Amino acid sequence: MKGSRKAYWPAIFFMLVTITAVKSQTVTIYDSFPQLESRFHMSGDTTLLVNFWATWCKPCIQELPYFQSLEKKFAGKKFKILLVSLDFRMQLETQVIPFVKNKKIKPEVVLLADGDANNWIPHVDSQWDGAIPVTLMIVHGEKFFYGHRFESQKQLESWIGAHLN
Amino acid sequence: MKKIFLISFCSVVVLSTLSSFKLTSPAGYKIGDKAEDFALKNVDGKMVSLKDYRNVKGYIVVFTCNHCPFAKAYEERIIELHKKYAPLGYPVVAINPNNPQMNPEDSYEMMQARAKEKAYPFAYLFDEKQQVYPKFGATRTPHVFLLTKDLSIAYIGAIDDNSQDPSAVKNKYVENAITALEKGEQPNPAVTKAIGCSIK
Repeated sequence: MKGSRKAYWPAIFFMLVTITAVKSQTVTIYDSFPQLESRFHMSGDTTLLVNFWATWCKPCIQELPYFQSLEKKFAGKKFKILLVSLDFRMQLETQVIPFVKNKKIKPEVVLLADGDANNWIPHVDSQWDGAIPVTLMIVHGEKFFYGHRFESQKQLESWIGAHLN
Repeated sequence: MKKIFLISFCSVVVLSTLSSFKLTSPAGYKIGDKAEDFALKNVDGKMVSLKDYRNVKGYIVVFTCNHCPFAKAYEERIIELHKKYAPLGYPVVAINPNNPQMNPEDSYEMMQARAKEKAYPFAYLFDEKQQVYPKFGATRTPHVFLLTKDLSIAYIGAIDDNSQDPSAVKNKYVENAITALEKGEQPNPAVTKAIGCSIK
């Protein structure tokens, strides 16, 4: 009896690993900014935290772990993290997906492949000049924009905290 | 005690001033401002200033670099810009503003190698002390500043409206800006935004 129960564990473990792997591999492509923008209108009182990044952007990669940790902190809360990759579309398979997999990125990753940045950048924030990383938080329909890299976990959390009330 | 208070007060003032600078939009040239000339080392070892150029009507100053994928995506287009517009009096002047300690690919030696490999027909200058790009207010690569002959800023922003796909470009911002200048008009748009790598 004991032995047969034990035999389940590798199978369950394998299933869990597979589920996580499959989950981390999906990266949706948005060809135009309005597709992404439609995600900004979260239902009800869910807070949305959007981080614009790219695999080639060093400061972006440096702050990604802070966003990873948030996922744990806000688990079960009405808080959603969306990581918007600005990598080129043709680098989805070669760069973005392997990166997401290797770094075990948990928050949802999408790739925005709208090349007409002059048109959509002002819709994120009028102050943004296009350098990344930047972070946008939408709380009850109100937008808050941070145009720099977060230097620490603490700084990111206090920035979020300051706007969450 | 008073002294300590004074010192800490001063440092608070200095720190808050510094951080407020960081939070406001970066300083730099606006349309119509007159740029200050510079002297930067070219990949051939010679110092280059804008005043060294003869018989020009303006300058396409491009802050760019080796490592950035957007700079790479625009590399051919920057070469083409120079080939097309240098004979018309608007040469490209490329400047790498990055600190190579942040990315070894942006070192002077690597700049030389890249310029040679791609046979850059334009000057590729190194802003080694990182004193030129803040004056312009360049924040990313590639970041274009179109200057008239008297160094006044006529256009700031992107080369065109599609970084991902040159064949899908609808608006050639820099070319249109030069055309406007040639007609004696103001470029419209005079400022555009683009995604790029932060200058480090």
